[in-house]
Amino acid sequence: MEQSVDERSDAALMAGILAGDQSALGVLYDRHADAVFRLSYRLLGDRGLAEEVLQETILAVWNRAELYDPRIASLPAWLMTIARNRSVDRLRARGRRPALLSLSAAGGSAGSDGAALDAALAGGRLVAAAPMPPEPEAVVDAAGIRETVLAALAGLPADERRAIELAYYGELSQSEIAERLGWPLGTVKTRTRRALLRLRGTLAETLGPELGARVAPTPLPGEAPPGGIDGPR
Amino acid sequence: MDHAEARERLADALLAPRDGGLEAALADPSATGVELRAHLAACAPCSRELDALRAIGALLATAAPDSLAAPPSLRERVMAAVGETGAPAAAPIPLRPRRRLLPLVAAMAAVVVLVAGLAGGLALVGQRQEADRQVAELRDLMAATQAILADPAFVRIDLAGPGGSGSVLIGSSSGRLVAFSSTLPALPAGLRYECFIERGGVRTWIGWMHWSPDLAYWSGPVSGIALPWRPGDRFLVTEGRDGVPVLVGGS
Repeated sequence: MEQSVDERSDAALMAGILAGDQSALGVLYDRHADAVFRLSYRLLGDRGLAEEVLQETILAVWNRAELYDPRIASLPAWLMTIARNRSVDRLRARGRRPALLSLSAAGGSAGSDGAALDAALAGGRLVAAAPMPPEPEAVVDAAGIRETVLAALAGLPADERRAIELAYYGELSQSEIAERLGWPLGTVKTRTRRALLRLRGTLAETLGPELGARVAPTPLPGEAPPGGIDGPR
Repeated sequence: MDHAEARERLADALLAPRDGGLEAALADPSATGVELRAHLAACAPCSRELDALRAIGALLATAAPDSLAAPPSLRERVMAAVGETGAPAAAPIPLRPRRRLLPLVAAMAAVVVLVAGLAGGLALVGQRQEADRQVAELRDLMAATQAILADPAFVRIDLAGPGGSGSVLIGSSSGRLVAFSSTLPALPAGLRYECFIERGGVRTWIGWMHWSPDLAYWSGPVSGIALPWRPGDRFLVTEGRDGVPVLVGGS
């Protein structure tokens, strides 16, 4: 999303929001919504849920603006805290523990801010609107996972990488990928499947024994270990 | 469906997030979906393959590019929800007799016990893990329901419509809401039951319903609209974001 032409500072926007100025909230949305959405998506792996979290985060700002303290965290960091906690709530509701990520791992280029915020959270100093999860150990510090996945993607042949990125992040169908890249549909299918296989192989090797084992291809019933004959189909 | 077909279907679904990804493939009501579920229920290695693909999906999500943006249409919905919360709160609605809720809670408890019983009898690890997950979800739902019942200003709304019937419980003090129905039919892949509260003709999106066996539900804090519930408010469940209501209540 393009940066808003409104050049009010975040502090000025928060002052406006406290005064009930919805246009200030709109500017805040334009400035920060994409980052909040990305963080939630990286944590949840589901766009619908990430949309819910973004909506709740913006509403929390509107309804609880008085809780924001710029001495503790920057406005983006506060937004990320709320989004992270709402995302963790959803992971819990789905019966899944957030076993993979810390905020700093999911935050991409905002990593250092995220790490500082994690530290602030650990001190219990942040915002009643976004309480610290009662089980802080549930958010395993796994900085490096994102980098490992990015490296695995970067290691794919360029065509395979393009195919899997357009399918997974671009949400294009195989027909749409074929059209956009001028490839036959069969080529798209082959390249996305190969990309997935290759990615799994790399991640199984590079993620360490515990996580790596979770993503390694599962042998078919009766199938011999790698190098053996195919099992029954 | 054999192993190779099941795995191919799962891999293709993982890479089709717009269609709902793996979870949509698993909920697919078509013959292919039925065959896939039957295969997974009987094949522990393919169930493990499903778990591995879920993990791959979570890992891929962590690497989402910095160019990933919120959908443009979301801004309007969020700002409309903000406009709603700015309205002054109305007087609380009088309480209804609490005993009316007992059969409802008992029915939910029965579902939990049923699923838990099924989980105990399942032989395959994958099946048992899935059933355990569903039991955990339903217990969370039960806990949320009981918390709302303890709210001194809870409201119950009965839902009815082409989708059958359902109930909504709102804790006006806590701001929490649960909505559930055991009569809604399964939806095609990519479609979800979406919950809205309509006030003054404006719909505020609440969330989409999750599935456990025979029970569609949503549970969580209401942040898009000011509580307490007001006379004239309506709760709607629609097929998809822009679909027609299949359950309505509260007017």
